[in-house]
Amino acid sequence: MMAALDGFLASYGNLVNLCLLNTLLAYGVWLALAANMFTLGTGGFMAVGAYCSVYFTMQLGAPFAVAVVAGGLLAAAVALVIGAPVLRLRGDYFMLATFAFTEVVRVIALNWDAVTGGAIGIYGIPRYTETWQLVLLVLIALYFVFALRRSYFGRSIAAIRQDDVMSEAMGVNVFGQRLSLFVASGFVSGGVGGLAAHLNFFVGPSDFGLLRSVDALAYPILGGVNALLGPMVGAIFTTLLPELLRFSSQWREILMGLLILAVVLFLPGGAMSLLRWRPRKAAARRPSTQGAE
Amino acid sequence: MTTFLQQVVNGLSLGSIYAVFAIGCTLIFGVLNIVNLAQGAFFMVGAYLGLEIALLGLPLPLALLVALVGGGVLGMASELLVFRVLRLRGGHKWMGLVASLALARLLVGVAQEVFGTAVHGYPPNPFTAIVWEIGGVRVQLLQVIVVITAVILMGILGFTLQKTSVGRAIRTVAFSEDVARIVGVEVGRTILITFFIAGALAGAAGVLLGLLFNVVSPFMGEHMLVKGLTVMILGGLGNIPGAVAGGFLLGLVEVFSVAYVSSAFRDAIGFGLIFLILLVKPTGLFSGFEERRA
Amino acid sequence: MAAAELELWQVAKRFQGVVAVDSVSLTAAAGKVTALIGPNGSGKTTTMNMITGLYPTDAGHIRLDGVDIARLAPHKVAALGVARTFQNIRLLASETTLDNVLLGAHRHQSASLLDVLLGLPAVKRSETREKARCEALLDLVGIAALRDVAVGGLSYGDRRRVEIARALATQPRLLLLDEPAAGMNFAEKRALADLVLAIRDMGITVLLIEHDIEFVARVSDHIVVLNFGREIAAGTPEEVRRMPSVIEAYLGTEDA
Repeated sequence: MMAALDGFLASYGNLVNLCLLNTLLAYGVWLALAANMFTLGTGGFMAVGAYCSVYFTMQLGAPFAVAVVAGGLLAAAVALVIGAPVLRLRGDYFMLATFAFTEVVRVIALNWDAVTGGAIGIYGIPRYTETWQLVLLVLIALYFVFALRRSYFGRSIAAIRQDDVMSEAMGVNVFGQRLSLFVASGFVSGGVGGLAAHLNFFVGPSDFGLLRSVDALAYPILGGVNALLGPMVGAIFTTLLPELLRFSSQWREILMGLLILAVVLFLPGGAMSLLRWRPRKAAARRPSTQGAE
Repeated sequence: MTTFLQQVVNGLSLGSIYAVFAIGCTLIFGVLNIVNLAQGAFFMVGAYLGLEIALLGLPLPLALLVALVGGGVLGMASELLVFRVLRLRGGHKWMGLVASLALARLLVGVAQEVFGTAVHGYPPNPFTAIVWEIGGVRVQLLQVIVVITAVILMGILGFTLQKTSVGRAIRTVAFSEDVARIVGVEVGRTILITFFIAGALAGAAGVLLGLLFNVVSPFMGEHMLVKGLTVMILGGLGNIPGAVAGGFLLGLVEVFSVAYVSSAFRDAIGFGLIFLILLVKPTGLFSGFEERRA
Repeated sequence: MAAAELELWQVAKRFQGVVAVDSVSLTAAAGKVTALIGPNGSGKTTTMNMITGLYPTDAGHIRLDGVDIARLAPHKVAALGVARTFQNIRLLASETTLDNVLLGAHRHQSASLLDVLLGLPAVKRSETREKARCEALLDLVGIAALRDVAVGGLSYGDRRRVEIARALATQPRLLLLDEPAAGMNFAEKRALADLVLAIRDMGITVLLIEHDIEFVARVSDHIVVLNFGREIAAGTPEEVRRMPSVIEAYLGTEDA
């Protein structure tokens, strides 16, 4: 049994790690999406976490776990600082402000040679990230999200997502909850950045741009924001699919584009909506009563 | 002083292209309150279409025209295949972003498959050869042509929006879809035209940038998309005069910071400023020009 | 949990220069039902939005038992015991009736995130307690049978009841009802009137906006009439009914 597992991991280890890593990231982004925060800041938080943790292990000689947590905490601190002003912006402005943040981080990474290695990036990062650690973290994330969703916090978060004005009037501290979730999302994204850096031997500024942020958003959206396993399904689907499509890399991009389009167009609730068995919901899906008079 | 004027020339020619591209992005936002992330890909396709025409030995105005139409058709396709379907389904706004990026990805893949991943350049044309020296400032004929073309395109757009019935329809839909329906505007068709215009502007910008820097690659769209979003923020979402001003401003700032500020952190300063603008004055630097939908 | 007294003093609100509420002063006496009536656009809902903190006031005071709440964020106003329903019914359409009402109980649950993650028994106890309380409220407003139905599929009148139950779940001292009887038939209105009186008798101050004069007369202890953003009359239902200025403003003059 163990031998079979070892053999499997030897052949597909990288892919498994990638799936786990992206699953973790998907739940990080979900934390923001759950309260209707369409964040393009994920790439920026990942970069902060990645460079910070690499600095800890390679320059300071800190233990791996400390380095990853430090990366996550620094990203969370950054999220706290930018979150307070950014969260006051309405929908699209919030999205664009987080986009601008990610670009600021990318450009700083491009130029702060002493810490980030500039445009070349940092090579030869020791490989500390292991599959069992990722499995453990994914399980923790799953439990966290599970417990959160079924608690009264989950109820208020779902309410914020659908109608923040009403939630506020019912006594929910909308700003406080959004900020907490944004910071938590930053923490997870930063941690994933650190884990990814110590998995790939390399970090560079081009790893964390706009596309990285949108990809990360696509995981939970494609899988389904309303389902516990949605983000995981979306992350694994999006990660595995290009590998399974054994075509030229160009054709892979084309097919990925087509598949994502198909999911978005034909499964508006994400892939997990296929599995949902709540006939009542269909009747309930109508324009919600929003907007003050 | 010479360096200064030289940078003004370079900045204006670059900025005019940014402006043309960003107008398209901001126009769609003004009408539908969405961001079409595939605009960058239309820009890239436009550059390739223009390149193919030029390689056939046909005149550059024809190349520009083909890119305009090609970008416009792609714009319409994105509306018909993606955004309209999502609207009818009542899909969440997020879906449009994810879908438009998937469309961009698809087009980049197709471009790689068809044209390869190598960087191409336009064939030599007489415009690059002609250079004037005015008081030590080098002005390429090409730069002049790019700026003039961009200004003409913006002029046509401005005229269309202000003086024609199509433009009135677009402005009415931008103000309120319900009002537009009440006064008898065909909303669906108007939105389709808006997407055509935006795509056409992106395609044209592709040819102009390809000519100016003589660089065409499948990945040029992503870069341009970032610039377009930046200009949108500078000018205020949905604000067309703001996008024109923002485009020129970004072009000038980029060129000047290369010349005067050490290149390190120059972009960081730019994006930091944008971040601040969003926080302090989210309606953009040039708000007050146009009515925006609440 | 005693009923609260609400006092507005020369409250004003403008939107981009347009006066929505010019100057409104009124008192909703503790433990009474006060009605706010007036033609469309007279500033009733704007006033309610200012009381609940949704709109900041431009001038004047809003006092709840003497405490100025005009500058507080909506959730802080709610925390002081002010609950409301919405004119355009704002429920979570895909959630069940009970889940919607439970949102009102949010502020009475104090378990920390850590408690939740550790699954402490106290968390479960508080959840069970709030559920029981909300079910009792569903019973009170008469929709106990619809407990597990998604509210999107409910009738208009039932959805209004869900909103009232949700507001009651916050355990308010002051309840604001924005056109609670709109769209209801005669029988439903009668039942609603009884419900409003029952809520008052529970020791909750009620301030309601309503167009249906019969309904207002039936439930109100005190009526305030607004027009053009000012209060033009106030008194008991009988007094207000006889005032010519009210008849003119509310019903319009014959030749208008």
